[in-house]
Amino acid sequence: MLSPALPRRHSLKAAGVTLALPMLESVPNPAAAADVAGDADPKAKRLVCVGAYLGLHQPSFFPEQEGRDYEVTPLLEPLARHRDDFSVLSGLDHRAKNGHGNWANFLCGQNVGEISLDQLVANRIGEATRFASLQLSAGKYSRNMSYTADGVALPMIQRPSVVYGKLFATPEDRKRSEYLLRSGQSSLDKVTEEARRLQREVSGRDRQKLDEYFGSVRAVENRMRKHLEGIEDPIPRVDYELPDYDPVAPTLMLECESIMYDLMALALETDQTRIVTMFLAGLGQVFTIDGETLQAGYHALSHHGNDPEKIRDLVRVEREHMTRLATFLDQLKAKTDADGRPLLDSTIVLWGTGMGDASRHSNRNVPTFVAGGGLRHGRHVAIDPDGKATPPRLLGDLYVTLLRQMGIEADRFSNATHDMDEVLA
Amino acid sequence: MRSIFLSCFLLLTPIATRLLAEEPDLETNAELASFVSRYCVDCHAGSAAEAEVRLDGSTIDWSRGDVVASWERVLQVVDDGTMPPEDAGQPDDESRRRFVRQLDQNLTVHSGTGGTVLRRLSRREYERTIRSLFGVDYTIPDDFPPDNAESGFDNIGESLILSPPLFEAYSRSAATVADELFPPPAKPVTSETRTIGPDGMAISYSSSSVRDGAMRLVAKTNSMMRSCSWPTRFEARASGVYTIRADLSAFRAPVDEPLRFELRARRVDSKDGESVKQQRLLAEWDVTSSAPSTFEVTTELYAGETPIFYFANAPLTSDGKAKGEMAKLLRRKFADDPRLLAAWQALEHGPGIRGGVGWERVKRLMADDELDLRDATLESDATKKLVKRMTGNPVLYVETISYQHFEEGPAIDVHEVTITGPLKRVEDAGDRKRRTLRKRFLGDRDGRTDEAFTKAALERFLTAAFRRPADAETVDGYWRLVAAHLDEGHRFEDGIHLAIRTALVSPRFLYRGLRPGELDAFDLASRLSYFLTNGPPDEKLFAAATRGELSDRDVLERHARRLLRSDGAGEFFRDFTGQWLDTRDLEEIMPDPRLGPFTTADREAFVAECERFFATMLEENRPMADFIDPDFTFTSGAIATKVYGLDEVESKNANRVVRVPLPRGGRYGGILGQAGVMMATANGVDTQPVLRGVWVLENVLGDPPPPPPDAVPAITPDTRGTKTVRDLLAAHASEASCARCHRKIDPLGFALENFDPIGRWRDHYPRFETDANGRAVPREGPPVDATGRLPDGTELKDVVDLKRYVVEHIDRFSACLGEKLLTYATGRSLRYAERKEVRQIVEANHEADNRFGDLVIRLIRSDAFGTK
Repeated sequence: MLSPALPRRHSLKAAGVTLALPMLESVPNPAAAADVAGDADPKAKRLVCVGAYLGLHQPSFFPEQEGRDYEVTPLLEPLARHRDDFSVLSGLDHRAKNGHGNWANFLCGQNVGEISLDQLVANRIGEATRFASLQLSAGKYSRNMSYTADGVALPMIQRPSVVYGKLFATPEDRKRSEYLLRSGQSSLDKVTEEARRLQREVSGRDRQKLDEYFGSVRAVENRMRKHLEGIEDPIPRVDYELPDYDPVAPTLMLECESIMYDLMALALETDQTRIVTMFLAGLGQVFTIDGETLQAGYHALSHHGNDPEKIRDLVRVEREHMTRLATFLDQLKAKTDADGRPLLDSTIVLWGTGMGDASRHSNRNVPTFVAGGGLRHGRHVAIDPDGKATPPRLLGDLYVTLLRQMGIEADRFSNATHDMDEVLA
Repeated sequence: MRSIFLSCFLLLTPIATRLLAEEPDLETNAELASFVSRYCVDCHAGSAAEAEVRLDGSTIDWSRGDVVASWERVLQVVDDGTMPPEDAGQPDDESRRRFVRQLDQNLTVHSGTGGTVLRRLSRREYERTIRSLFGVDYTIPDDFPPDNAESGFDNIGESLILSPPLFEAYSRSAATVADELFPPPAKPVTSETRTIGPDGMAISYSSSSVRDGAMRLVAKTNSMMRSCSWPTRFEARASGVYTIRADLSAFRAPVDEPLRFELRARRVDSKDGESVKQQRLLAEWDVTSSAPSTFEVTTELYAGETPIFYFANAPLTSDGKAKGEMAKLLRRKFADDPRLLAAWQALEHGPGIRGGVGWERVKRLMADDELDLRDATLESDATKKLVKRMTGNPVLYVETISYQHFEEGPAIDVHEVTITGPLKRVEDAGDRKRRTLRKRFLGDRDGRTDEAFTKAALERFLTAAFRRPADAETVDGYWRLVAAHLDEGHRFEDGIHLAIRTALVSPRFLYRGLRPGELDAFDLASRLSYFLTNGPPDEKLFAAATRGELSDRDVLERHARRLLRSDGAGEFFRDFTGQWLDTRDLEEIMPDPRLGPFTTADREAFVAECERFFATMLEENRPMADFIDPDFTFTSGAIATKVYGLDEVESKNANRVVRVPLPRGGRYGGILGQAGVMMATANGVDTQPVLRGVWVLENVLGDPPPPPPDAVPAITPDTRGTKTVRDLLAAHASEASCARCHRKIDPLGFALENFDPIGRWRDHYPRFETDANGRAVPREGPPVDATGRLPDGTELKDVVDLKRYVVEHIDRFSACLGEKLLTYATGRSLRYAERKEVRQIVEANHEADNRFGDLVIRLIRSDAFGTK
């Protein structure tokens, strides 16, 4: 059983209760379970999840028609050349509370803090690569997106230079990190010895607490070892020039987004990780698009109150996101895996949000887009458009299908107990 | 001192039912068992047991917390008569009383006192600890995973998990902190020249705009993101001397006053919303010419900084405290141009007018031949109302008016900026501080050997880091680590760097409360100081611990009183109220814009009200009943008008939070009337009586209901207002399994229904209609019905009755708050026996005047506080 299958009773009061001891026993660590049933060679091997803080203007995104022959909407236009390689899904959400606070359940399911889709996958396949997963953010992030099985939110990297440095360190940086890693080993030996001594003095639950400590030290040691092994390897050579500044100024968020996509494609291509997430911020950024500076900040635009001028500008910003996504898909088509096949064929790209309609702070009917990964694409899938199905069809149903596509046995995700195999797989 | 772990099993078999207890003074428990088998097991047995409570086991493993918790629930429901249910066989009163008494005795013995599991430092504690240990301005980095909460608090041992990502973050942080004192040798950087045009400068909100090929500045709001521009693609890579040249011109400057340009330095990483005045001033220039002229300064920029551009005497500002200035500016504009005034009067207001869109609309209205000029005088009521409205939401309106100033000035144009450097490296403030800290850390060498010198420093450091005297073995261990590193040929500084890095990931630093049983002097000192200041013991407290004085509860009390008066206590007030009253969540809640404008300052005033109220209750040792029905509160002028409907708040600054008197017996004030609490228990859009009811049970009455069963969907009110929450909830009453809890929950929640999602009083629910332009307009919806009847028969008309009820049962509240405080202080959910101790403390305190300050002191002197 995967941990998202925990019943509501356990997760309703969030982390507190789920962390109590008897509960821990009922939540197997997915990574520890060796029974990765299903495909040994799954169709999808990589997962990219992008979450937009302000979502998308629904009427400009969702096509009116269902199925293959939908009419392209303003927000799908930049993606039209990939039409056969993606699906648009409407009518889905996690049936959770409204408001910005709950945005963070995007990848978690019903409750913020349940293990997120990307981490669930990272627990299974992250071992294979130098980084189990990478979390990035374009713009300063105001919400979390990835959560570990313990409900710990993972930090995101906001500076492209830091991502780049992680992936393709300069010799000088390498020297320093090598020094810190090597000397860090004696440091870990010392504190492990201290913890062992303590373990002899404590009892019961405290022992188990110290096990957390030992477990963490071991995990960090393993990672350090891996990094040290990797440090001898030649730095993957990439033909990519990073600007000599970090586009962290609010005005440059879209530029940052482009660079982050480039780096994501490079990270996947060099197989340094197979799981990447990116958060797209949404605060007071004033964008200049095609030489014209918009008349209000992004967040103010999202609260358009149905004002047509604001919606027009908002959609312009959102089209910029879509354009960048389309370029990213181009890259995944051009770059190939070890077998010479396009990366996109075996990479799932999920682009979505925890917010259905930012103007009303509604978390219903979240705009959702899926590309690649060997799934069946080309359609607008309008599932349960009236929201009348019982039990409701949920965004988690999609995640179940994505997990299976990645060779991970799953029959539920958080509060969702169905799948979407019939439309996508 | 009672033993904490009683390895005692109760046998409960269907045939020979008997209970074994090791405590000889306990009455025989056969009766207890027979009660259970007679009245409970029919339903509570097997895997399909009602409410998931199984009472048919053959033994009771009291060492398991969840077992103790279920038996506590049994005690509670049998005691209050909820169980056995009406339709089942009933025990007589005497059997019921005996059962309750026996179970109480068992629970008291078996639950014991203490048992906090190893308690990792929480984020806040870690931050405060690093600061006090090294004297550095340390802020926890963004890449630190957040802590989980349990029992309502994020400093509970059980939930303070140590995970690999956190350990990695600790390791990184340890290296950063060590770098602060003993940095690696600096890399060489060569001088470069950067030329920055307007397309390389930041625009945030309506701070600036590119006009006529230059970046135009119009506002002086003291928040960078609302008034400044800065280079987006430049960041000083090294601290050094730089030459900054700027081509500036004045756009439609008034004749009598030069435009004042300020060049300041910000950190690229800092929040865009930081105060302009707090950024380091590099140069001030008077810009008078309408043709670009070049200004130049040679100044220091520190690594990670970039210059910001600021129009210091601009007429426009959305600072809350400059409302008078804004009103004056508006009146002057309106006096000069009646058509402008008339257009603003005719404008359809709302969030949609924010920014340039709004200004375009004003211009269109001005150009309209049919513009109605009848009220376009300064004296008209319409104008007064307009000015009040605009100054009431300066952020929104200044964002729009900025666009008028972009077109009409006055403004400063920044054409081009050139930055050259570093011309030479300089020691920055960080380097200078580092030198001082290093000296403090190492002490004077006084001709000692490396070993003696280092060991003395390590002893001081490790004593502080581990919060207890470092013995010779500990010091030796760290010295050997350093010595081995030096033997490998590293610098002396690197050796110390390594020792710091190691101690900061040691379990002795990261965890506290390592020894079981009664806390020893050092653990007790830590418990007290982390409770009241979120930080490690200060020198005085540590000295008292070293002298062995803390076992004297009077000494402990003296230190508690001292710490409560110290600056550190602000941490306690903030952290505790933020979590108890959930005001920490306010940052996550964005009120529905249809409820009216809501600013960051409003939110801050809500939080400040709760914090300062709590602090005052403590400092003035107020009666417990004042928590519920006080004669004062703290609020800002803005909130007083907007939310509380109080007119007379004396303050020049509308956002300054001041103490105001309140009539007792009223709607507002106290934790059941504070807007922040009401907002935190709603979601910004609508109110949910069930959530508020549960909140009151958990946080005021100390009677948390069990979690709802699976498969019950949350109730979402129909926002079109056709069906009220009350209608929807009525369905619960007919379902017996729901009714059991909801008859407790619902009346409490309904009593608070008069408070809307931002804590304003309402007699009717709003119903939002959409006007021709698609904008929401509030109309009067169905009336609010706040009445209800509590399980004991008390009828409630509204929150005033609820407050009276709580004041009449003030000990329930005191016990609830006492438990929360002790949970927060000890880092564990209290055991049965400890809650009993709290109730005894509450009763004793009630006898003695029932004041809050006294209660806190009594809790600190309790056994529960003094036990791990």
